[in-house]
Amino acid sequence: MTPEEFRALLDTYGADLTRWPHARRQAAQKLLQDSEPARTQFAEAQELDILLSAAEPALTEARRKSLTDAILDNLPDDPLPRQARELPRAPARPASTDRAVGIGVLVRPLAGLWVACLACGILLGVGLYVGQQRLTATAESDWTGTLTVFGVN
Amino acid sequence: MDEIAVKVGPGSTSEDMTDEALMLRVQDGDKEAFRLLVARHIDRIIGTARRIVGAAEAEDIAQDVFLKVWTARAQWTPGQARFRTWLYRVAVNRCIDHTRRARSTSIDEVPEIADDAPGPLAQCVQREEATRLRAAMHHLSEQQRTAITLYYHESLTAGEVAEIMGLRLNAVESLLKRGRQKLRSVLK
Repeated sequence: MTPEEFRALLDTYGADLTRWPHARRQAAQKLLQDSEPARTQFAEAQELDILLSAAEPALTEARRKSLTDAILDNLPDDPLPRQARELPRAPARPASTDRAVGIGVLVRPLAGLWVACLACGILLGVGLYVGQQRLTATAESDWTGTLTVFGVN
Repeated sequence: MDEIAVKVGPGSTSEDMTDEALMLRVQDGDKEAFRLLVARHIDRIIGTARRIVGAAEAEDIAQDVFLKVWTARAQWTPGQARFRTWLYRVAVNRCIDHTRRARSTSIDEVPEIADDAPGPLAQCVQREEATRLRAAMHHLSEQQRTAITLYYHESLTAGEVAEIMGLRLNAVESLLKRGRQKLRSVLK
């Protein structure tokens, strides 16, 4: 292991060799045996490790309790605890009803259109009927006139 | 992923239960189980927040983190992630949100307030070192600070840090390396 590689691994993983990649530990230990500069770097790295891993000042018992109480007091009510999620669901509708609902879904929003179509159909039918009656009456009248002209009747 | 032990024996008390077993109770709405989880982890979450965002905001952030854990408790899936890893992910996300909102504040303006725990001389020295380190940590990028804190302060592996930060392992290794190089030069 070169001194540069040792320095890089020390910066990446710190001075605890058990946290280094397994394959590089033995080479690092060999370098530490052979190199005074490597040992100096390692000692400095151990000091920094101690500083970095030092515990933050602990909360006092009273402060911990006060913070915990404040958190518990501010918990929102949860509308969906796990037990509620696991409650049996309402039985599903029978398939035939589902099909009826499916058709209903199609028909319901168009109900107005269906009524309008029906009304138009009725009006059209009545109109055609009345119109036909008048045409028939006119035709009969014309036909009678024509026959009269040709001396029939 | 290793199988996660969930200790819920008939003879086990709540204090003996693993985080994962408590979390299963929390998912059922058990507030006393949640109280135990909070008491168990609040010191470390505050410590992490102190190092990532600063001492002044750390307690507020820790409170937000645990409220988020409660409201999002259904999202934790036993067997997929250890509770601790999931908790740190929530905490890191909250710290990042906070830092992004407060980005306009200069590093030099970040206040360092004294901790409230009175104690003997050893605690004073510990507090001074912690304050010195926190000041140095603010010279790092947010990602470097987060990676260094989780790796050294929380003793997580680089792989766990990658999982929490949502990064590749080699990206985390690079953050650890550059962050430590920067700290070495700042603390000289």
